[in-house]
Amino acid sequence: MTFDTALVVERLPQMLAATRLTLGVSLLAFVLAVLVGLVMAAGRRSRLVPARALSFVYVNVFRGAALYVLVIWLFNGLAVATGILLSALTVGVLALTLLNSAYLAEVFRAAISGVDHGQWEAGNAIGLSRWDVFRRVVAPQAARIAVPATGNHLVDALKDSSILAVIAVPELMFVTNGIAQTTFRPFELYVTAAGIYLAIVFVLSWGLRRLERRLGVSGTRPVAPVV
Amino acid sequence: MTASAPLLRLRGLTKRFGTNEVLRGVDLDVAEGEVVCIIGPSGSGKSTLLRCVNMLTPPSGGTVEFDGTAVVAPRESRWNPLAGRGERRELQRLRAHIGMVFQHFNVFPHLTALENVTLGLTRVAGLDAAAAAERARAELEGVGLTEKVDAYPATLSGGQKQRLAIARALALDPRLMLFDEVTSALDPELVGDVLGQMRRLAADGMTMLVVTHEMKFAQEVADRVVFMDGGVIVEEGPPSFMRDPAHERTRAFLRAVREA
Ligand SMILES: Nc1ncnc2c1ncn2[C@@H]1O[C@H](COP(=O)(O)OP(=O)(O)O)[C@@H](O)[C@H]1O
Ligand SMILES: [Mg+2]
Repeated sequence: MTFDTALVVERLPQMLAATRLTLGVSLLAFVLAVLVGLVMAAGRRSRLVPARALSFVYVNVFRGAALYVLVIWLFNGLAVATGILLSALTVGVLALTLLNSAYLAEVFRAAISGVDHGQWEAGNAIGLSRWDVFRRVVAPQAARIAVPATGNHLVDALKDSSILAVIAVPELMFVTNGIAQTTFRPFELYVTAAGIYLAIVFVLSWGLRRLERRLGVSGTRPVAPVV
Repeated sequence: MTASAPLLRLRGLTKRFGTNEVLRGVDLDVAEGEVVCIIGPSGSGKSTLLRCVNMLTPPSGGTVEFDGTAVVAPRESRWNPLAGRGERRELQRLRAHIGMVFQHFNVFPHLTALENVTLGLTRVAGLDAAAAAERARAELEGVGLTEKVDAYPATLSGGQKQRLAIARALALDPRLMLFDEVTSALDPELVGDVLGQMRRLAADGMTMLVVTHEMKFAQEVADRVVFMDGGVIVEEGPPSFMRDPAHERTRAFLRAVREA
């Protein structure tokens, strides 16, 4: 069997165009997941019963959800149950956000707990408000702890976005499927797609390691297993 | 007892952790300008007593009065997010006037020495950045850290970290300073460094409540020494009482400390 390089060269622009959607969907979902994750982490730590209950349920439901099932259910099931019809793209962003925010909430919660209790006490003892103790003393230290695991979820969101091919979001995997089916050259095309994912993960991991070093994360090690 | 009201007045202070009664009715007055050292065996409730003063540990019963104002722990509601807001603000105001120094320094590792001190000045005392930096530099100079203003705590020795913690507290012009075994985590050769700082502070007239195992410091610097055991004050008096304590428990403790 020969490797049809010409085909790859010919189809690469189309695949790279789809890669932009892959990046857009996963980055948007990641940013939203960080924001929701922060809110849910705050909820888990809150003294208020309703906030704690809500975030507990949220985290445990979506952490337990399988992405594939969640995507299919949001796309088909939700409309049947409620009449709410979401576009494939919305479902994609939503599903990736729900899942990753649940995990990130736990990452952030653990990071906050990882800050020495004496730091809260010292901040309180000088008369800082509770918000200032969190914002100025605890959060910057928690952020350092959370960066490596958070970076892993960015990489996860990127790779997981390939699942959105099942609801025809025209991202890299969906477009690759289409080309492979019409050209009957799956080997070349999936190798190329895998290479593109790999290259992005590589660049992201490199960027995250730099960020870690800049933040002085202790014992800097590879954030994301490459692949 | 002096005629004027004491700066700090503790009455009937109790604290339970579950079924563990850690404080069992403590009365203590500290007059303005007075240095009171608290000594006693480990687990006798010394730290807990100190932490009740600024409500880091809210007492189970009894009262804390600072400069005639009741220090109370804010109400915590599990349902109402606005509960205790006024009380919390009042507590924050009082805490700014009560400096505290901890055994493990608790300096802010992500901030430079200067930023450790300016944080309270800008966020609590309300100074602008320039005024805060100026004040912080003066305070760091006062504890001998002029060379270290831009250093991060990780690069400081234990003694320097503790002096930074003292500067951070002093910057807010506290009227009372609480010290909780502030030399216990230090290498022996650095202890004198921090104790010297505290001696100067005492000589300058600062009101101090000091939990310590440094008997020499208590002997020489304290106006009054308080011996605690089992969550109560067993005995108190001028430092000279340590030479001939009335209670057997005090005698046993002092004997054990001297032998160590
Ligand atoms: N946060 C806490 N929760 C439960 N028990 C505590 C807590 N803090 C202190 N204690 C207990 O209270 C007792 C007195 O502690 P402490 O005030 O630290 O004593 P000291 O400072 O005299 O050594 C100890 O038995 C300790 O285990
Ligand atoms: Mg103690």
